[in-house]
Amino acid sequence: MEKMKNSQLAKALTIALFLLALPAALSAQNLAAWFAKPANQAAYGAIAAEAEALAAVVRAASLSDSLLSKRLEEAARKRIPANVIVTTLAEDVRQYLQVSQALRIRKLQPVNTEQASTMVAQVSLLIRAGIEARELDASLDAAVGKLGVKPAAVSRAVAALSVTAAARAEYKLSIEESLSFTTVLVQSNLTDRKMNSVLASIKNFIAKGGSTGAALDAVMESVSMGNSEKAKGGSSDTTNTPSLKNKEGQTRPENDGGGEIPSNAGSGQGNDGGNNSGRGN
Amino acid sequence: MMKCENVHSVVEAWEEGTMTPGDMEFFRTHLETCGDCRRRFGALLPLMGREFPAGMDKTAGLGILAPMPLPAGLADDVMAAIGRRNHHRFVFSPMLAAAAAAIFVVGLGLGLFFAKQNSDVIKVTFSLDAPQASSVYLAGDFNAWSGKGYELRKAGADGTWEIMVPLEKGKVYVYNFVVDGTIWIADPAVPATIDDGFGGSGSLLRL
Repeated sequence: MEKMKNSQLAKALTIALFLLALPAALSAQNLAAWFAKPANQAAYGAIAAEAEALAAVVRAASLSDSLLSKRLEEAARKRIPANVIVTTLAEDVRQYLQVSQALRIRKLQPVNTEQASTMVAQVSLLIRAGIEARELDASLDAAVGKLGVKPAAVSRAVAALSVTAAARAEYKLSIEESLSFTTVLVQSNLTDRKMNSVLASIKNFIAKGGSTGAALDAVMESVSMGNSEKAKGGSSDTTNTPSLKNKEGQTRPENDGGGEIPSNAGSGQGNDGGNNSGRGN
Repeated sequence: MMKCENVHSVVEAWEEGTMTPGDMEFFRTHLETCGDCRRRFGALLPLMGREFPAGMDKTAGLGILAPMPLPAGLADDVMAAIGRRNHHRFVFSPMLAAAAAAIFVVGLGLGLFFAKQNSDVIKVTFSLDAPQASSVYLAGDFNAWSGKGYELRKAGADGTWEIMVPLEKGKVYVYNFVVDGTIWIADPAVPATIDDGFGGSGSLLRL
């Protein structure tokens, strides 16, 4: 009788361990499957061992090695030499771990390996776009403060950081300006999808003669004050995706109207180049 | 004897609502004797009869319109048959009910799925001014960096290439244009670029 109980317990433990190991086992297949393709093996087989070593580090962080196989696919499509890829993959892994750490300490990284990997990949794109670690920390902290510990907080931080990355590229923001800008965006009442509208506001302000600094101050003041005052100036123009148009004929996919855009800042009432909110307050 | 042209007048009067019981009687009498008018206007007789039912036998003398006498007991047979059919119609079938429930659940699920899909996807047009290019592809993390099926088309004579791609909202994407099959470039109209780590750069897009 006792033996039967032990046997059943052993079976149950085996099944449980199998189920727990299954995601990791499936994850491990991504990289192996990529290298198993003849064309990839022929061109990049020489770096398979190094890639696998990096993948082991990624998996140890509860992330999927699909992060690496996707980068390898990009490299292969771009016909990048194998020796260049290893260096890049190593830097990628460093970024993945950095992002993962930032998420973990805030309990924001999903338990599901694939979901966690997708999240880490999204944030890592912003790191590669020039977002610094302290900007990431600041935006995550602000988002958690606003929304609590939930995936939506990461989405909000990503939204704010992507706008910041675009603003930095366009207007050469300093790190201090970026930090303030990101934090204000996260804490604002703007929806994630409407955050891009502030880029149009900055653009409008500058187009009317305002300086970049004044535009930034005006927009941040407006955003931080909420959305009680509706837009006076246009905000339908695009800044970070000007070549993109959606099906509805808008100039970009981001702006779908709705009146949540505090684009009154920089709408042309004040272009004295000073710290002018453009609203007389 | 009413002439055929008088029948036309009666029909016009009926259409105008000025027909009299006398007109009706003339009309009926004429159709009894005139086969041509009976073929043309016989179908109107029952309609006219609704307005002039009193003292009129709408079908008297009209062989083609006269009802045949019903066989004895036919009405009872018909009512009995209707009763049987109704009885069968409402028989409860567990299998049928289960199948209907399954179809409903699956249909509802699919409906919600596609509704969600539609609400989470936005069509984005990517464009590039490249008058000298012979081909332009779009490659990004959304299509595993494969330009296959993502070839831009010339939008006009000015050398602008375009493609519309459905993408999921709420995500950050990175992409390149591939010009003439070998030249990977970032979108020149998008200031936000990222270092691709391979010596090039890609364009950043958040939806």
